Amino acid sequence: MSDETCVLIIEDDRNIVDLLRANLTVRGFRVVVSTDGSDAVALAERERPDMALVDLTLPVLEGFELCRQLRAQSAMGIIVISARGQEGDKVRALNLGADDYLTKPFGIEELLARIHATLRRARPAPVSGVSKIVKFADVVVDFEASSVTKAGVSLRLTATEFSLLREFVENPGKLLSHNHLLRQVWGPGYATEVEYTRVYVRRLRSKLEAPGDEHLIVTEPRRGYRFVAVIAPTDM
Amino acid sequence: MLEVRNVSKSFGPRRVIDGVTFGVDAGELVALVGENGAGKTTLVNCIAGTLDPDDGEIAIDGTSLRDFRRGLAVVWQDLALCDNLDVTSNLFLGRERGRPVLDEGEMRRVAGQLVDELGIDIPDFRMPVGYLSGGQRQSIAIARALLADPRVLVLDEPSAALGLTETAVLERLLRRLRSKGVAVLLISHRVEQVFSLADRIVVLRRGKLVADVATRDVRPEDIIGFISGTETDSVARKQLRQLRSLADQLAEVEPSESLPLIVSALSNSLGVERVCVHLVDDLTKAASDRVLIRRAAVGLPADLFAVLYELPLGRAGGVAGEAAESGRVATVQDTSEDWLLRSIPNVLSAWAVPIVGVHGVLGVISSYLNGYGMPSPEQIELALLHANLAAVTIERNRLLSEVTRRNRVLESLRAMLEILAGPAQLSDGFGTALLPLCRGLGARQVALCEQSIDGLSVLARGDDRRRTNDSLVEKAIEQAAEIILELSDGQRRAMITAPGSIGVPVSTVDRQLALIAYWDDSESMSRDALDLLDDAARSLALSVERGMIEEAHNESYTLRRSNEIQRDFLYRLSHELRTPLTAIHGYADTLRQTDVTWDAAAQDQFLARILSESARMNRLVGDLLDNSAIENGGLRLQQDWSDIGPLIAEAVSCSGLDPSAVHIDLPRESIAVWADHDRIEQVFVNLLNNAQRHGSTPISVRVCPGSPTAPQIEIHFTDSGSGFLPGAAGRVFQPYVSSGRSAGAGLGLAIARGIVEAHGGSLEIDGSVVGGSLVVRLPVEQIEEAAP
Repeated sequence: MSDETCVLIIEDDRNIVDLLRANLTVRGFRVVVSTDGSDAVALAERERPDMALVDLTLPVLEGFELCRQLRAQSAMGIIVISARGQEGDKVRALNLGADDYLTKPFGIEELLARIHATLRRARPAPVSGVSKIVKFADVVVDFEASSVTKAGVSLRLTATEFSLLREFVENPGKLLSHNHLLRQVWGPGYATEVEYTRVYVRRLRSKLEAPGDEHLIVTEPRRGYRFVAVIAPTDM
Repeated sequence: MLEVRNVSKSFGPRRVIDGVTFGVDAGELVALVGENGAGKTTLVNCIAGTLDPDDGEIAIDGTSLRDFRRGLAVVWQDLALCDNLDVTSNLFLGRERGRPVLDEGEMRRVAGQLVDELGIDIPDFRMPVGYLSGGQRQSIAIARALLADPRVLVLDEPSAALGLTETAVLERLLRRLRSKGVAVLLISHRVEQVFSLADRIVVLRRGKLVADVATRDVRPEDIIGFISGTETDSVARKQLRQLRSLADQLAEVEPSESLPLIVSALSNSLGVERVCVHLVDDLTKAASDRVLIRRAAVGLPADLFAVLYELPLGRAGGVAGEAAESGRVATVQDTSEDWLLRSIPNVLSAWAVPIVGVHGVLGVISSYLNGYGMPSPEQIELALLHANLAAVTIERNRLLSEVTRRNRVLESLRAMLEILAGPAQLSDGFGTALLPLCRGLGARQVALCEQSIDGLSVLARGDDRRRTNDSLVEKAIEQAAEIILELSDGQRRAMITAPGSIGVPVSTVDRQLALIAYWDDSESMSRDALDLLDDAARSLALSVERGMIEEAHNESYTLRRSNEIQRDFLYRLSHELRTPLTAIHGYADTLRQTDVTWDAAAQDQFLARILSESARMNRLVGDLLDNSAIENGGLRLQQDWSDIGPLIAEAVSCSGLDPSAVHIDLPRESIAVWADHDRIEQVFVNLLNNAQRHGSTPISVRVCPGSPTAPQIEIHFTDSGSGFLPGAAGRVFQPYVSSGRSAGAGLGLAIARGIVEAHGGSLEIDGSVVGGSLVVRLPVEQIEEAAP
């Protein structure tokens, strides 16, 4: 792993913190810990972690609120780790900006796999096949700089949102199934997490499509999504 | 068709009907006429069956009415319509019971057909009859009587309340009936009316049949002669007119004014100045206790007025007393023989006539004259006529007050219904509802009884005397309830179960109920009590069912609420169990990883964690078991003398708290209590952990020894936090209720309280202290419940 990947652990149970820390440090991660959530935002500001593992049940600040605050601050990967296994909690966490959701108890391999998948999205492989800069409607995407503007205004996309957008732009006009998107964007272990695509397509639309605009991404009920924007030729 | 043979009827000494014989043929209209008091109404009552004749027989087609009253219908003067019901309902009034339910359409069709047949002009059948004219109402009453398809129809004074055109409508209806072959007996005092209508006229005079003549053979004046029994000379006519106008006036005035009116009319007719009316004060009293009270008088001088205020019956009461006692006319030719009157100047002779009603002598009309001698027979006769009028008036007033009483009963029934429909709790509601019913019926007690598998029980009573411990009443009510409830479902009906008690089944879906009314005196049971109770039972059945539905609703709510708490608890419990499980699973999985090699120290640490987390799960499961033991009352204590000081120190070390964060304040001498050492330690640990979790350190633990009078110790646990929320007192000790998002299944305080209470002590929030403070009170030695 280039440099030291930094992981922020936000968890109040000392035993779980130690468990996570032991497994991550031995694999070369740098670990910072917040045990009650109150200092998590400040820690993230200072340490600039690549990703955060967030427990939902915290003594001071609720995990959901923490997701929202961390996401407002940065595009880092966020994985929620919680004993709450209900669908509603999962969708809510994703809506508030989490990239992934892991239910306690969990296996070490699964945890590591999800961390890597999230990091991979955050650090995409070099662009190939399409131009480095793509324009459609009033949106400009620079894959090399990982930046997006709409009508000249810069948009903040999370790593997962950016990966999803890339998948759409690389396959204009094609029907992309939930399964395909989950495999390509999240990873092989995510094929059944249909909420993930629903939540993220919605988030992407709300950022790219202003009210009154033509839809850029069209939903094909029960099948998947289609990117229908006309990609303008670029001079590069 | 209708035959009246030699019928006689007496009320007390007075023979009201004396050997009357006449008949009415099919298709014939016979008018029965006579003065007021001639016996017409009594005769109608005999024919209708509301009075039994003393002698003679009444028959239809040769069948005695004593045995068989079908084929006869009576339309009473008051019509007996229900003003707020519509025409159709009135036609079928009283026919609903005991006949398969008619649907409304069918009822309306039958009503329409009948009304068409009779040529009655009713614009709208849905109109309440209160809005109809007198003639229309009369027609409806007749139509209702005809629904039973009678062969004989008796009409009691049908035109008394009618105008001219309406009388014409009635006459047309009667002619039509006659043409249908119905025998019609028309009772009237209007000679000119019946003259144009009747085929024959029967005249009653003072109970005797004095004429039975075909209308075509006589003139109206002849009939008037028969009625009054006098030559139809002008004086008699004048008297008669006066009497008739008096009768008309009496029908209109208030009850209180009727006697003065009669007195002044009599004074006028006789040309005597001093006339007085006395009434017997209370007919329910024994005859020897009764007195005469003056009710009205004209022309009495002051001294006579005073003497006559109250008189005893018999000779001591003068002529009035004598007449009242004997029921006959009494005269005093010379008042010097009369000790009552001899002292009154200018009263030289006197006479008195009794006022005889259905139940005997009601009072006396007396006259005091300033000349000697006997009154003429005509004068006495006129006085008797007025006395009869007075009797009729008094009876009428009594009936009116009877109607008022019935209204009161209905009113009380309505009060009962309102209570039942109100928001009051039903168990209270029944008692409150039964009381007005009991009062309205004039009963001693009304009770709602239930037969369940536990036997017969009384659900509620309304007792007019608020005295429910009378075993005689209870026994009577139970017997009545048994009689009703032992009948099979189909047989159950309202009935008189014993003299003085009535039982009515209350039909509800799955409860066996009966409503019982009991009278101390079976004489005071009113005739309509059975019907009233039956109605009340129906309303009760509805409200019992309403109560059952409400109860079911409440139960399901409680169940739902407790399900919610359980679900919430399970959710939190699964979270609580998952945290140690995650650690155990995670550490075990970590040790199993093949891509890294852990040194011995790390392995030891992981294994230690696995063990400590297992212990945590074990504690949690232990808490659950403790709690269920406490809830089921199955907590076992192993008590011994335990020293509080060391116990607290052990609890602190066990709680994992830094010992320097806990200030322990112990009295100088050691204190021992009779307690389960481990359980009390568990209580202290729970309280310390709770203080740590919700408040903040330092925590103070202060022990106060008890006094010899109150042999208990108090241990205060006070943290430095903000304390309990107001209103938390009831909640925090409930199992499964954890404050907010804090960790823990919420059992700690519930278990602590359960253990303390099992020791005979208490655990409470100490509101007098700033910060969160809980106080444990433990008896030094538990008092044995079975102490001698």
